[in-house]
Amino acid sequence: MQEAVSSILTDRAREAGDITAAVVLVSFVGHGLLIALLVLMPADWRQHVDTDVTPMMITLGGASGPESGGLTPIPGRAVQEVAPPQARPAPQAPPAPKAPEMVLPELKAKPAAKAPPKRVDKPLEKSTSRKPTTGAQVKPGGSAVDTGGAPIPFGGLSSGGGPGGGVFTDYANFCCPAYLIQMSTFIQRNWDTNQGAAGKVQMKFTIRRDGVIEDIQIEKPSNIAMLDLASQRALVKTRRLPPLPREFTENKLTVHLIFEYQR
Amino acid sequence: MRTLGYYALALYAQGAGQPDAGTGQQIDTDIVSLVTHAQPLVIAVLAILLVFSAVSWAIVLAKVWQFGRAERQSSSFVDVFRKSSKFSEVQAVCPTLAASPLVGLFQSGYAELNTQLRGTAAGEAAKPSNPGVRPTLKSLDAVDRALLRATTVEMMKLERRVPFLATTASITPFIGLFGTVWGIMSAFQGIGAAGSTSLGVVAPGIAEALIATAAGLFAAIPAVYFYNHFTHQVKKFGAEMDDFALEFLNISERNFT
Repeated sequence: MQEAVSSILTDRAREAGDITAAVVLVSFVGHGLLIALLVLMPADWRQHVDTDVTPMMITLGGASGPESGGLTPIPGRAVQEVAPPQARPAPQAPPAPKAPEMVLPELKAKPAAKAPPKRVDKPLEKSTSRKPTTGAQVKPGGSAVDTGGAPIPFGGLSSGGGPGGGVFTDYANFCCPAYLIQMSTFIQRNWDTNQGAAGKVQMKFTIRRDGVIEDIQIEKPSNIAMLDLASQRALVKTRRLPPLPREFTENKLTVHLIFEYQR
Repeated sequence: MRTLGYYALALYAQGAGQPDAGTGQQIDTDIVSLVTHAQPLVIAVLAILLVFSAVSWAIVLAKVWQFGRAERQSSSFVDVFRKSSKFSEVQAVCPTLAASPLVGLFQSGYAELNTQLRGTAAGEAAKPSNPGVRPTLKSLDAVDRALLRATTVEMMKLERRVPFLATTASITPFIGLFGTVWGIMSAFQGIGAAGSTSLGVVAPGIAEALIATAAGLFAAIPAVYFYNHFTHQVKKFGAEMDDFALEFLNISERNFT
């Protein structure tokens, strides 16, 4: 049994309104065009091109000078300004004296000789503040000028450069700093500074008159056992130093040595 | 079409390879070379996403066209319906405005009306006692049911294929993500093989893998937008059809009972 409404509805449902192959084709062509556009456009549009930008460096801590125990020696100041070129005037020869064409008639009365102009001393205008140092070229603030001035070691002793450290003895006025420098050099030969960790270890040991190291102690350990061991090993491996200098009258010299590790 | 696209990609890659030979790594971060150097699985994922995107755009185009026509023809049909004094006049216009869902409603309502009136007219004419009596409807409910059926059919017609957009919107990001995860997995395998974690080793693999996610989003975002748009339009047509059905019932009740 067929109802009139049903046949109409079936016809309506079957009618167009669905997507056709043409629309699908249009969509695919559109996507193809988009891809082609992406492929064929200049590579510069797609790619971000880095431009070289020199970053401005600001150091809050100031320029790091040579390691000299906290004091920045004056000769180590950086060049901040170019010395202005000194223009030299071209030499000018005075005109050659000519014979006067006409001779003045002689005056009867000579004019009074002019008084020389008074010299006025300029007031002192220079400021007392430090002037910027000048040199051949402008260098970035971090660089030091080699002025030939040696850094002044702190406390009059140097631990011999390298990753810093400090050495001091139990005697306030130890006679022979040269010996301590020699000692540091010896120990540094056996010291493996490359431990991969930063820290500070203070060791205490005693040098006998014949130069043998004994009584090695860790006075102030770092928190890293590896660094303590490395410091101890450096002393143990050194074992023997040059004998104590004659100027030093005591039998034993107790030395405190700071081993400083940098990462 | 897609094959053509890959040919184009391959050609471009060959063309681009030569000038960049001098500058070294520069080409490696380029989108096109990332796609051409991608693994087969990532390329397959991209192809699937391309098909999804193309089909959903085809649906979008078809639906925009269908809804536009339906809206225009509905408004002219309503004009005709309100101006005419006879249903037969409106029925004559129907074939030219077939895209409007209201036409379907009207045709089924009119067919039901006709069937009922023809039955009563035949019955009344058989009785010679009361000639010239106006034909009346047996059941207004039957007309209502016919309109309801037509509404359902028209809604189905309007909603057809729209769920595919929802499917595209929800699964293409996941397909893209799958491609990305796979790409990153193999990038890490590459890192393991090279024994280096430098950015130069890691970055191209990950960039290549991320292309798949980008493509998934490229397919999904328009699909989400148009799905919501079409759902709203279908709702609007539904309200319009309900309104028209009530109007049709009112007129029938007024004239044929």
